[in-house]
Amino acid sequence: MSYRILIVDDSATTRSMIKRIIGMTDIPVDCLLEAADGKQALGVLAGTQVDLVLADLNMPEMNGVEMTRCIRREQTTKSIPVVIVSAEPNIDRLTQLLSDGVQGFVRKPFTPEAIRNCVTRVMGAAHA
Amino acid sequence: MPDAIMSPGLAEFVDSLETMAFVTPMPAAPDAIAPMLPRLIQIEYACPQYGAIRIAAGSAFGALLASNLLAIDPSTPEALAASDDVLQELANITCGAVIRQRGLATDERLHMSLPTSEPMDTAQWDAFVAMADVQVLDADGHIIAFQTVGLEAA
Repeated sequence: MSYRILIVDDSATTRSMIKRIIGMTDIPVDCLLEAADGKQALGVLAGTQVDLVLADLNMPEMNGVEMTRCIRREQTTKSIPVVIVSAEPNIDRLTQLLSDGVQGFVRKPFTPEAIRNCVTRVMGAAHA
Repeated sequence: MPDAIMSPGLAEFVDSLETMAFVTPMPAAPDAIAPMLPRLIQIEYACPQYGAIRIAAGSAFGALLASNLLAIDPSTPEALAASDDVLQELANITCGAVIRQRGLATDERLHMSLPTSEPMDTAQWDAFVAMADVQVLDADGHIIAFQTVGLEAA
């Protein structure tokens, strides 16, 4: 099985970095999709089957918290694992996200290993 | 950088820069000249007291960071095009680190803005780096400047 992964971040450079890192792992990838904010991400999810969402929190239009809530509300998307990749310092917000069903958190600035380990763990758990 | 590192937020900025893009800034020489096409990147936060992180740097420095992050040549159009985006991401990461290190991360009223970016002319650059609380740094040969607003020395 290979995965469709959606990377959501308003920084195009960060999206490119994450794509590069995932491309260098042995995670089988069918397709790496991109969105620049939560609203765009929901648009992608409405038209494409996705196996994992990696998302920033501090984004224009729709932030990662609102996006995650929308994903969890929708029948068709509520079981998609979501990993937050963010510089977000607010501990309460992160705790709330984890209790809302976010599967992982990678703090920026991240190392390639942090992304790889988190994606591997989450996808392993999702398909165990 | 024993003296400069004492400035509020500078340690977090240096750490973010090193971790993110493998660049270690040092205090710049007093006669350091302004970079070409400088921009002022700012990110604000409130928790609830106001604070801001400001980074002034030329597009070539942003291109250097992009080249390190994406493993591309810094002189390519791709690296130059990513310059502003990378500088804004650096401000975002530094702001998160400053808030965590200062113990502000548990305040439920905490809000971080999105980073903004404005071009600077020579007069604006000169006025910025002349401020007493602005640190002027040399990062791999690029002159950059850093300031925090609303943050007291640790």
